[in-house]
Amino acid sequence: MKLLREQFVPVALTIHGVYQDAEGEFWNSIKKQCTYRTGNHHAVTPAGNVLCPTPNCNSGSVGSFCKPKEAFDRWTALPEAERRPGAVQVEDLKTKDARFPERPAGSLVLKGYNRPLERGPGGELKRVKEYWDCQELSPESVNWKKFVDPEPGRTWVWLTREQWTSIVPADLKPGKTFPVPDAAAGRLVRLPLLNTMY
Amino acid sequence: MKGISGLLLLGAALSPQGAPAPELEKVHALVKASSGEARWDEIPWLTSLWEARKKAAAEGKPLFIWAANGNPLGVT
Repeated sequence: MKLLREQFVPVALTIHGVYQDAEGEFWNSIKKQCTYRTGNHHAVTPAGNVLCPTPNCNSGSVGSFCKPKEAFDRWTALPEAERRPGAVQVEDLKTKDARFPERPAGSLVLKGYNRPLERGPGGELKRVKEYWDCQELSPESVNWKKFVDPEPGRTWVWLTREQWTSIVPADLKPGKTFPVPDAAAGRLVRLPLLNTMY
Repeated sequence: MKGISGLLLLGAALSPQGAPAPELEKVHALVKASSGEARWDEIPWLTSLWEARKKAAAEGKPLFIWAANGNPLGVT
């Protein structure tokens, strides 16, 4: 964890498709070196050279994981001239592919959690110890898996300016109650009711 | 799935009609990640590949990319 935090720039990506811009070209250059499968990790230099996972970079297996220590050792083995700050110049993107979503101005993104609970013998709420779930990768591929002491799943709820301001009244006081507009209530209550634990 | 899905939204807790605040606080504590859980969330993940590349180039560091067809950090 410390190595990732201090010696790398970590980035988590949603792969919607191929961006037709410089960012998409950079991602494509990485994929040419290393087969992409959803959930995989890759360590790359700012110039776009893959550091890991190797030697199974093109094994095609789901969940190919890069060991940060191995990746860092390969990084430090490179000439200092390639690694020093500013050795690679990266300009701002001049154009961005307009087909992919951008966060609306003034919007709010809430972090949400979901976890199965159950009632104990006395009616008290408690966490489920063992949890079975099914990840349907395709109609032909159904993967049942048991989770012991499952960690919470995660959602992100996007609210437009109009939606989040509708639930923050001007005269905010402790204990105040008011009806939440349907549009905001729908996003807060229904949309995050997804099981994202897998 | 047998059981009750507990849902928590940080920063925007809704109080269903009739549900006392202490019950909500219990649900909050049960659903939210406890200490030692979700360690991956302690990493300062960026969400833009290009911004990460710029930062890595400026600081002289490699990128660590976690990519998925759905966002690895959670459903949006």
